[in-house]
Amino acid sequence: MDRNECILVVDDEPRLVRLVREVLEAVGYRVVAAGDGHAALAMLAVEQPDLVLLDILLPRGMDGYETSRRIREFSDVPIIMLTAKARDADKLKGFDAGADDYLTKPFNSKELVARVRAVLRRSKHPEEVGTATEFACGRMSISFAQRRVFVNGEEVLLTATEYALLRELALHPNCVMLHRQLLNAVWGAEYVDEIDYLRAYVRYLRQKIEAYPSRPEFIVTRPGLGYMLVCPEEDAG
Amino acid sequence: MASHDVGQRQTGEQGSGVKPPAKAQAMSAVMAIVRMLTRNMDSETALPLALAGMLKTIDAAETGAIFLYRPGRAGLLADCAFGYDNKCVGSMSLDPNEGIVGLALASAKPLMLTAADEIARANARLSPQNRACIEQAMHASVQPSSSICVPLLLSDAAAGAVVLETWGQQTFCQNDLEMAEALAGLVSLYLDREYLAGEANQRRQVMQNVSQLQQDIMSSLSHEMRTPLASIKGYASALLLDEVVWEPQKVREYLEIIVDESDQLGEIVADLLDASVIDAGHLKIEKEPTLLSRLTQQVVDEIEPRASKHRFLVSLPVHLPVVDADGGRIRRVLYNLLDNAVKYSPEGGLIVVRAEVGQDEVTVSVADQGQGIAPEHLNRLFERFFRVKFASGRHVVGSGLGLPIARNIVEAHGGHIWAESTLGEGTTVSFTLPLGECSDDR
Repeated sequence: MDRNECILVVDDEPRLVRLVREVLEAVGYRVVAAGDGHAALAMLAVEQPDLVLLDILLPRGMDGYETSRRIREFSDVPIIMLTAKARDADKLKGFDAGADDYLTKPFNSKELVARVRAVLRRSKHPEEVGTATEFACGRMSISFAQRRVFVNGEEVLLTATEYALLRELALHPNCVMLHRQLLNAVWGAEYVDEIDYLRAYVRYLRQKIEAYPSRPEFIVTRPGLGYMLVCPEEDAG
Repeated sequence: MASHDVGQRQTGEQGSGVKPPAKAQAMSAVMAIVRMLTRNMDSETALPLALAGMLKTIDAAETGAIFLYRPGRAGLLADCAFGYDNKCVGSMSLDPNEGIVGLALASAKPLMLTAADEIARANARLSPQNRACIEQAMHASVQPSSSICVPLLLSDAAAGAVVLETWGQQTFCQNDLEMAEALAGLVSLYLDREYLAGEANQRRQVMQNVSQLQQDIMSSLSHEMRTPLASIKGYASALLLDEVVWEPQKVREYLEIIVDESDQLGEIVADLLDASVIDAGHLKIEKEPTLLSRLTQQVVDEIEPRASKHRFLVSLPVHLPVVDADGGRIRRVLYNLLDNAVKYSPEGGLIVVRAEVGQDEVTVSVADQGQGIAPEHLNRLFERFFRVKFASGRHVVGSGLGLPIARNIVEAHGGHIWAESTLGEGTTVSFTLPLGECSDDR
């Protein structure tokens, strides 16, 4: 692990900030903190953290969802939402706002460390060994080396998790990838049952790369099994 | 008002064609109204249909109107009318004692007037505006040749009245009155059902609001409890991390945080228990001679260790009398007041506990140097689950029950409690306790 990775904690409860700070520092991260969304946005530009831990209930008129949306306007830094709300609807709202993962309060410090590590791990640009550096799939092309995606020649901006999911599908074109396979490869072994995560991200990806997200041509659903990236045979070879 | 006009009735109708036998005609009118009753029609459709049915059945009737009380309106308003100029009838508002409607409602019985002088007397009871309305509605300053008015009586009140009138040579007979009464009875049944359904809807709405309020309170309380719980679980599990060896000083600090947050959680649970005791009417005050000075010092000693930013000043008269009070409960009042003073002055400062002895009562006050409370929120402080919000948006953990419980306890002792505050300067909460017999030794 890179021991100098920086984590930005955004929460207005001093005891919780102290806890997160001391636990994450004890396992080797550098931690900076902001008490509200405005301070978080300012700090993000200065500190360039590798990950943001973001509470949903924040003071000064900008909640965690809004903060996350604003961060997504200029940054694809991984975001873990930290909150007391744990219903599925809240999780999806968090994903919609650009969050990569979710940690429910009260949480176990061990789980905090594990989630931070998992999210950082999958946000790292994977080593592109043994794969082609370019991938073409009909109107879409991916540059693995540059980590960029183009549809109809125009670049599509993806978050780290979105890219990781698309990459995983692109490594196996025209093959059905099982839910658990994708969750394991993109999110990590501890996430293999979080099918909601996968569904949410497939939806975001479709919105970004498909001409008609409700009638996808690239990422098709294989009900009960998983998803498949459909490519014309001449490209996929 | 929903007013329906089908124009002047065709007087020729009465004499034209072969009339069905009166009994069959009456039966068909009754059936029409019964159908309307059983088909769940809304009143805007049903009442004009019922009135049309009455006019059709009671041959002599040339004009008719249904007047109803409306929520929030003093007078009776025409709901629907046939044969009149609707604009004029629609602008009428009848006082419950006006005209023939007034006479019928006063006696709660159907009324038929056929003599010109009777009708003139009843009309004399109309206000000049309403009389002008009727004259305009009939395009003439004539009076009807006969009138029937049947009150629409519900199970517990009058809903309004039906008026039928003749204007030419014809006059109503006793049969017409009986038929009008029978048909109006059906309309009353319909209205009764409508009102009951409306009431049921309102009750359902109230129940929904109550249930929403309960949900909001539960959601707010669970958040309040989750915050200390998050600290407890977080710090405890941090101590259990295999990969970290904490310094002894840190271990001690974390354990202190866990104890403190457990106390906060405990207070919320205690507040909830107290509130449920008060709700059940089981708040028992067991009075005994109580030394306020000792009680106050005990509470300050309890709170002081976890208020490192605050200084406490206890300023009590040397000879503070013994009061007749439930020591345990008053201790709870003092605790809630001091705990609030600490929580709502997060920057620290002085907290002053004072007591003053008056003629019949002793007044105890707790003052902080916190951010203060806006005047519009001051009265709401003693409402359950009301939470003061800081301008900064900073949240203070608590049940929202501390002051309401304090008020219940103080009032059960015969005292009262109030708050004064200046924004930016601080808040003072004071309460009184009556001086009873045992306080003679002051």
